[in-house]
Amino acid sequence: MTEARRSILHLDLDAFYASVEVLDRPELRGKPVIVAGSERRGVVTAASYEARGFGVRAAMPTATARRLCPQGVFLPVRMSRYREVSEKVFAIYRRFTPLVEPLSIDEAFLDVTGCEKLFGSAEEAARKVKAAVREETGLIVSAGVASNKFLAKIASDLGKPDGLIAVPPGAERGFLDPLPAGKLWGVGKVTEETLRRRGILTIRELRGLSLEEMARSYGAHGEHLYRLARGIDDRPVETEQEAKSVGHEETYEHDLRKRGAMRRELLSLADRVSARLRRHGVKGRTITLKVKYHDFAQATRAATLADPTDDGGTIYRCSVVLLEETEAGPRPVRLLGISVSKLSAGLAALPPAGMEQLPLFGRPLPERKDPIRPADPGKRERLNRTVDRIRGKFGPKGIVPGALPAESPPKK
Amino acid sequence: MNFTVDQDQLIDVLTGIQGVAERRHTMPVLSHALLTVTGSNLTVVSSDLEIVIRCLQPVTAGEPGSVALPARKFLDIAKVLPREAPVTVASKEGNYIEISAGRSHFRLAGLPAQEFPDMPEKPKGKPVSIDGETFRKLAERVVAFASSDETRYNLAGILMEKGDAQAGEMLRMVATDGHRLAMADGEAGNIGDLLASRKVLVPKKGVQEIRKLAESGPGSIDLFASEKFLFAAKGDTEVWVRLLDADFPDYRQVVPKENLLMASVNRNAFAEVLRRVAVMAPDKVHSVKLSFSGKQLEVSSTSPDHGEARDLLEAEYEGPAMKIGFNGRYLQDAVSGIAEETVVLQMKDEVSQVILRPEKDASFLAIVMPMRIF
Repeated sequence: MTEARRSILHLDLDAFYASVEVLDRPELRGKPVIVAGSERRGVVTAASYEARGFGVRAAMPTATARRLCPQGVFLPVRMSRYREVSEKVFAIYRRFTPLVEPLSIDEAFLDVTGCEKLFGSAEEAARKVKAAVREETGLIVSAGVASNKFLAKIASDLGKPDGLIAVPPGAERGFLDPLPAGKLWGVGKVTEETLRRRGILTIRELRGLSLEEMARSYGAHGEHLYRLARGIDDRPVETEQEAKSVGHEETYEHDLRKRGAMRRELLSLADRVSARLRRHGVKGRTITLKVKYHDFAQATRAATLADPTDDGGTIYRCSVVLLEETEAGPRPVRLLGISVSKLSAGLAALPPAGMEQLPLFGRPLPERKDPIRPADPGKRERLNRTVDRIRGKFGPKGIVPGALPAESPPKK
Repeated sequence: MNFTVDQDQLIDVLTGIQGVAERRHTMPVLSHALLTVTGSNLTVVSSDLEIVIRCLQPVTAGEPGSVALPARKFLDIAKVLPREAPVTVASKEGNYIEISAGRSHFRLAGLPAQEFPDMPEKPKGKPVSIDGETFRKLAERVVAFASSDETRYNLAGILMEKGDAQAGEMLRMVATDGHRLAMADGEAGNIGDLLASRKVLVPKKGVQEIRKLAESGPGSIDLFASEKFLFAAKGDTEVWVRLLDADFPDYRQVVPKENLLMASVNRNAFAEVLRRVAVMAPDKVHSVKLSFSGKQLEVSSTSPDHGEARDLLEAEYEGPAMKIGFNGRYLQDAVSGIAEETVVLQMKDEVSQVILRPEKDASFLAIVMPMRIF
């Protein structure tokens, strides 16, 4: 079966937070601008290309950045302003196609298949998007153009900053061949190391392995890599409206019998689900816990919060409360799942810029102990963004909740 | 089990228990009503484990017995039966029930009565009597102020305690969602016998079920609080509400004492203006701006997508010009609790809590936190 050829753009705003700061304060142009946590233990959230020249990188401790770049302009994170600008940019994207999949505040996939009459070739469309973003917001976006999401993302990455790289149909393999195997999605430090020991450094070399070998060494994940190494990736561009819920579940090789062990698994699930919510730029209000007992009987419990959340801690605490309402424990459990629904995206998930409902009970009151929500949501939000950045750089295991052991129990 | 009953009576009793039966589906039996025939009475019970309602209905009883029937379906059937004949309900084998009236017959699958959760104990001791209308009004004034976030245990309930007014014994209800608060007092002869030394935190839904009971006709309701339940009875109906085991915030602490900027406005005019500008207030936050200057209050709203609304009303105000933002819904709920001709707003500045109260009547007070609008 041959699929109709698709035209996918991956668009990534260059040094987004730092660029917004420069935009708002033009006198900073050309200077090393570093957006970072202001506290003593803060980390760098974003660095302008000038700052990167000094070796400053995202997720680096602020103190280190100051040492590397003492003349840098250090600015605090202004999330609501970045959101506002991001909304503008996404609105421009949506003029080109309704098929926009936000990956984060500064990254998106666009499916422009069949838009040739309107915008010319996909590469031409990318050029037009870049020009529109620059003209209307002053920001610079790097673009990758290819027949699928995976290739488009690699292409935009390679062209940064201010890049536009297109992978023409038929040129996919030649494009991938020289790249390090670590560029493949899902190849982390560990897989990369095992490949290196087999003498496999590039994607071309990885392609030398048969499907059987890949599956034997890396399981289902191996099949996925086998396809990626050939430039095959069928995943559609999914707009956020299509997702009704974001969830994850896990079947355990041995039934869980202790509430403590279940809570640990819930923490791991909540952590993953929240990271995905944040990656898609959505928040949800309803949290549903699914429990499958050893005899395959199943129970679900749900709770709806007043405000949408993308915070793992909140989702975890809520699911622990829900767990209390099940027979888990007395009845052994083979599967646990958490899903978050009633999603809202973008501006709808946030109070509008510049408005803040003030609380009646100030923070110091001991009565304000809340079993579910974080005590300081703003601080939590900043922490979550930082965690995402660290994971973006060091992979999903780059930072994990302290209560989670390095290795979870084996999964089925 | 079998009995014969008048159709309207059957519809009434099934409607009365419906609100509790429908909600949860975690245990199938909870979407059922438990029917029991003893002597010449039918009792119908529904429960969601938090709220239990029991109604008693005299019937022409045949055999005693009991069964659990899907509450919604049973009501649907009762409503469509032919009008002219009485309804006969009879147990058949395997928890089936036959419902017939005139020439119409229904067979409805039920569950064994034993699956239905046990009834909470009926409280012993002397209940306290409160006028149904007083209870209804109290509940109506505060319910909107409670949090609808069920995970926020301590704010999802309505606090009931003995009011501290000197003029006779009062039942006080207080509700807050963390952004605003309402407090209402209503005369309740000997409420001290029930709540002299304690307060109870009653889930919003439970208060609403008792309010329905109060609304079912004139007369008083009997209240009793045990360790775990608030019990209310009126006529042939009894309601148990499981109390929330959480600490309600110390509301007295947020009643401001130094709000010296006073503005008086006509209640109906204010309500109308709020309703008008609400049309242009942004969704979700419902932000409106109040600007006081001299004898005028300007109320305005701005929608980022659509435009603006602005309206003026007369106000008695002596202080300096002031602009203050609010969630317009909160103001509307506060004004709803006020029946008097004049509403008084007591303010301090644009970031501190504001009191809204009737000019003379001391039995109601709403406190609303402003919204910062830049």
